[in-house]
Amino acid sequence: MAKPTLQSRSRLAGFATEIGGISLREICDISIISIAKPLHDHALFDQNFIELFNQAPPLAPTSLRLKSPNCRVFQTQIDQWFVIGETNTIQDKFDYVTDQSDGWVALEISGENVILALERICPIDLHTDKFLIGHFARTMMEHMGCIILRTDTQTYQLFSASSSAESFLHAVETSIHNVT
Amino acid sequence: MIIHHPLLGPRDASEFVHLGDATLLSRPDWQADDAIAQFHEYLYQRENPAGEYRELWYHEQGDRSWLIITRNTLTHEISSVELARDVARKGSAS
Amino acid sequence: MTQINRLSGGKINRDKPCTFTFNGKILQGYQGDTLASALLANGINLVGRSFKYHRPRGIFSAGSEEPNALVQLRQAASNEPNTRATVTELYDGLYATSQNHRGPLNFDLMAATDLLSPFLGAGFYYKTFMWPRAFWEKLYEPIIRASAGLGKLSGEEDPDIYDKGFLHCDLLIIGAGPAGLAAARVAAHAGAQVIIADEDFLLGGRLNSERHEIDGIPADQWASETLAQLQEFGNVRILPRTTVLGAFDHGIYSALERKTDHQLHSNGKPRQVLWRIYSKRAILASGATERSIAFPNNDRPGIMLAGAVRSYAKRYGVAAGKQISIFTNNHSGWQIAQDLVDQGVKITAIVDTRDIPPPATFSGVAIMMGTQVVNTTGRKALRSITLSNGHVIQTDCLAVAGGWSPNVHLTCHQRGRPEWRNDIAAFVPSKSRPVGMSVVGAANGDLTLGAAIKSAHQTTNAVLKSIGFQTKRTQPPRAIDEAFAITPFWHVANQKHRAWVDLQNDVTTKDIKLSQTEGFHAVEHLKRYTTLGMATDQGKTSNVLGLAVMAEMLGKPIPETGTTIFRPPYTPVAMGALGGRARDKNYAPIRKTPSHQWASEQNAVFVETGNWLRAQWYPKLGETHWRESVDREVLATRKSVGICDVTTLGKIDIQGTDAAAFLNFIYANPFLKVPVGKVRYGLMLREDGICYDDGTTARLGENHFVMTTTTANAVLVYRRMEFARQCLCPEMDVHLISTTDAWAQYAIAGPNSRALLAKIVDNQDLSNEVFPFMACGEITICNGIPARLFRISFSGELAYELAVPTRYGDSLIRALMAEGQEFDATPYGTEALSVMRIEKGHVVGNEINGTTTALNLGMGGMVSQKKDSIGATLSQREVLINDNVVRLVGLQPVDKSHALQAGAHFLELGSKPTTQNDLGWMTSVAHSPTFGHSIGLGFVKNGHMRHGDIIRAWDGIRGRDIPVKIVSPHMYDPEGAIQRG
Repeated sequence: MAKPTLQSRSRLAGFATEIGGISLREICDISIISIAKPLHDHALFDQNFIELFNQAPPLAPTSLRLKSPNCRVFQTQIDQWFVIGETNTIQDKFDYVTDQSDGWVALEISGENVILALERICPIDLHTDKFLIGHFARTMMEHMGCIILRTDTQTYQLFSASSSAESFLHAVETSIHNVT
Repeated sequence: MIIHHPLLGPRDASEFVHLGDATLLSRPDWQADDAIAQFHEYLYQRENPAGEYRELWYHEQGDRSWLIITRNTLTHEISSVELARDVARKGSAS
Repeated sequence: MTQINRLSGGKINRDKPCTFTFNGKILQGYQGDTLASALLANGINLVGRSFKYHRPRGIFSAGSEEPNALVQLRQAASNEPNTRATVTELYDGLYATSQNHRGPLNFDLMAATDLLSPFLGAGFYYKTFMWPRAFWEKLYEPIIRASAGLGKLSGEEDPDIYDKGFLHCDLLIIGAGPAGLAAARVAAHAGAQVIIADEDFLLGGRLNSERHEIDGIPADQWASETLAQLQEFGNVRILPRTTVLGAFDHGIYSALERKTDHQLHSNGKPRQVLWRIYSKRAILASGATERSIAFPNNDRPGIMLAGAVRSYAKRYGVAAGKQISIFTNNHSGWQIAQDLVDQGVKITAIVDTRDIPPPATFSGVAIMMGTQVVNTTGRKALRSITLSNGHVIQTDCLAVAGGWSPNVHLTCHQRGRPEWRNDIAAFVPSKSRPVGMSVVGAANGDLTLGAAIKSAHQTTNAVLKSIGFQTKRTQPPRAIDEAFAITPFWHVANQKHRAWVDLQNDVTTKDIKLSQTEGFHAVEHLKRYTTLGMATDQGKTSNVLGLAVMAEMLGKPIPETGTTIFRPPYTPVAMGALGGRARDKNYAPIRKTPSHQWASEQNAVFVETGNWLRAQWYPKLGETHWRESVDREVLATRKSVGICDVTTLGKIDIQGTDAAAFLNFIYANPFLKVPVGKVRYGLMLREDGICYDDGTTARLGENHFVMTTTTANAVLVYRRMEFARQCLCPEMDVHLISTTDAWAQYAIAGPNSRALLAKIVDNQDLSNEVFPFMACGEITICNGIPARLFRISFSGELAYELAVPTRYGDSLIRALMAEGQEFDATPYGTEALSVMRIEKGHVVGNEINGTTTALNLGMGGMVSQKKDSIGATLSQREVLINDNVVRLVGLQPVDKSHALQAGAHFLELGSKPTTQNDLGWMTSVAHSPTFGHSIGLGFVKNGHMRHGDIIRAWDGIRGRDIPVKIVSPHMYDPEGAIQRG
């Protein structure tokens, strides 16, 4: 008997909008893994990391952007990093890997006045000379834990728990609405 | 309050959760003859200084580090912030 | 009547007239007016009634210190009571009414209260309304509420929206008067990130209200030019209409920005934004507030602060009266006279309490030195003043210059105590003020312009250097210091008439005398006994005066009498602004499971579990009572197969070479030797030996476990585990990460669960031999979708929990229901889940309630004493393990038609309901469709030895008292044959 087929469904059904020059969209089908550094095998972990990414594990608030494999890496805990993007080829290189892809919802927000919208919910200092392109911070917005990552001059990615995706989207959308 | 996280820099205290006395790191030996008495001391007996106090905070909306913060209970001045894990390791080494 | 008091000039826009309504009268003003200036322009000064005595009151000040001119602004749901007309920016269409009167404002039916004043002195509440007690709620309180008080709330929901936000800066400058602007100039040039905030809509502070020159140009022009320059700097953020409300630890300030209060409509945008400002340093340049003098009948409409009279003339182009007289004890009264004359306002007399040669002369103005105002006349408007030399002067506006009090408020927010300066007769900030805050200008006691600007310039340079900025060597803006000298004079002694100290709370010098006589000398007592300095103005114009009067009565100097300090907020804040967006469904984040949409389609009733929404039951067409649905779900599950979304359980991924050892420490029962591919129930204790949480943990690999926690405790358990990992086991190689949201998880329970599961798993043998009770594994389903399968049972049935990546959760529930049709697969909610767990005797938060031990729960044997684990040692305290402790039992009503009630206490048959006789209590109850009657779980002293006994379930609150039988808590399938089947 034929088995049923399961459909993948993104948390916000690919939401996208543009309000007053600020665009906001869900980044769908994102792949995230966490990798943890073993307590007693620092050297091996670093060596594997350098082999894969050509440099040492980045330290907060700086993230690492790579073309091949196409991914971004940033430190989420003192001994833990998130790899976002092309993760399937690198999973096996590390001992402690956890698939985080489905735990998060990812939004991208961009536009000229993007900071005016973000400052309504983000407690981090986003002055462009302090929070540089490639910087990230794990913090809290509207009582929801989240990660903010600056990917370009006026572009930020926001990650928050997937179960409260709608509340998170509402928070960000309201911020845009309130300042435009 | 602002807590100067040793790895992440200044962060609003609202990202953190407060636990209490840093002596919670010095957990007694469960095999001691008077283990129950020692655990009782460990769990219930606290200094309540008007002045510098070492206490545990957890960066829950951040990097999940447990920190030991030395805070003046009279002024809220924070004179040092350490990773609790580093302190715990030093403790076990000594 | 069209703006009969309007003068020429002023910083109003005569091209933009505004029509507004006050007490039903349609009036005109201009953009740039406040409601107060527009009312005065229209010759209206009677704007309200006083709090206690319902005395007619007029506009007193021209700023946020206003005690009198409180109005109801806007209509219906948008109505905002207690709005200060003096800071309400006029807009076209503004609607306001006066408040605190019955009947028309000029004939208040409550004004008779004034005649009762001998009985309404300080402390009258305490003395009069003490007894009989029953009278308080029925009589006194309604009377007090109706007669005293301020404005009225609409009682409707606030239709406006509010927002919050976060700002960061190197330097926060509070106040954009001369000192603030001078400070901002320096900081802007140095390249610091600067925020300059001012409560006013027109920045410049006193420069807009007084006549000065700075750098050779008129001071108001200097202010606007300086602002224009500041706007060019990318590193300066100017926040007009923004009141800095409070100074908090480590350079954090709160500020309220009024975004649309000056517009008729806010167009769906936030009306106000509450900012949290993070600053490295702050400069307080908040200026000073003028105070009055207490003289007999000094509360009539037309008696105003002198600086306000000047402000109305110069800034707003409004004469506050036709014949203005001035009463002063210092030089600023004379400066004000000069400014008024220059502005074309007619002055009748200057009365100075000081016996010195007149500092100036004005033609046609009577000048009386060493003279006091000893009485006034005019009920609804000032008519005349009587002087101590016997003269009576006809005047419709008396401008009182009692000296200046620096606005030290924010320096006190961390209990800083200002100190007294005799030369200016005022409190100034002391060294004890918030860390990182400097004070400049009038706020620091530099009451003259040149000194204020110079101190701001110098201080800002030093502050910037201290945080690493290079400042250019520039000269401060040039301004001269006006003459200033004061001889303190606080109140006119008079036994006959009342002299007001606090206009807002109707506190007179007599009340202060009474307070002193009755022993309430301390400032804090004075405030509470007389209500001096309470309510919306927080004593901005009255505190120092009240203190000085008390000092005089005590015959002590002011510093020895006390100091008033202040708390946030600096000015009143709407509750809506503090709430921000957090209202209604946006009060807290909502977490939804992957089956949420599907469950909504099934008309599921949802229940909040923490932030989660969970399906509570799934009513079917025709079911009219929740019990019908729940009973059906339970029976269908026990008969065939039921499906429940258990995604909300906390899931923690645990990896590391020491993962097993770590779990062995976290859990009270042994975990070292759990085989790979097996699940074990785990019990967590607190360090004091009380149970904390429970759940199942699966070993997926040698160094890899997946833990589940209860929904409610997921975050807390994770926090405790991080604590154990970092603080107690720092040498263990173990790594934690939450995966709660990453997996959709369904319980599939009932005799046909295996058959249903077999239809979707790929190549997984589900037989008892290969996949027995408590087995687990990483498998695939539906042709390659990764999944985790756990053979665990909360219902007591043959059951599995199946997890897939969240993105497939919606599709999986639909597939399970479709494939389950042949088995009549039934979705069940948290109610049915709860019924089945009670039938089975599984404990939840009702039983693990923060007071119970493993022994109480019937799991004492699980707590291993052969290893170190959290709570193991203290769980063996004598008090927790003696023979008398309560034990978990099952309970059934003797009469099966009785319904049990949670919360009932147990007693022996025939014994009285006393604490001593208490045997325990009922924790959980349910109607069991399986057994056909009510069942319960509860704790009974030595209950494990008493199965079969009959006791009473006594519920004194609900008046129930029924006999119940003690049974095993494991009522359904006590041997566990079904779940192992």
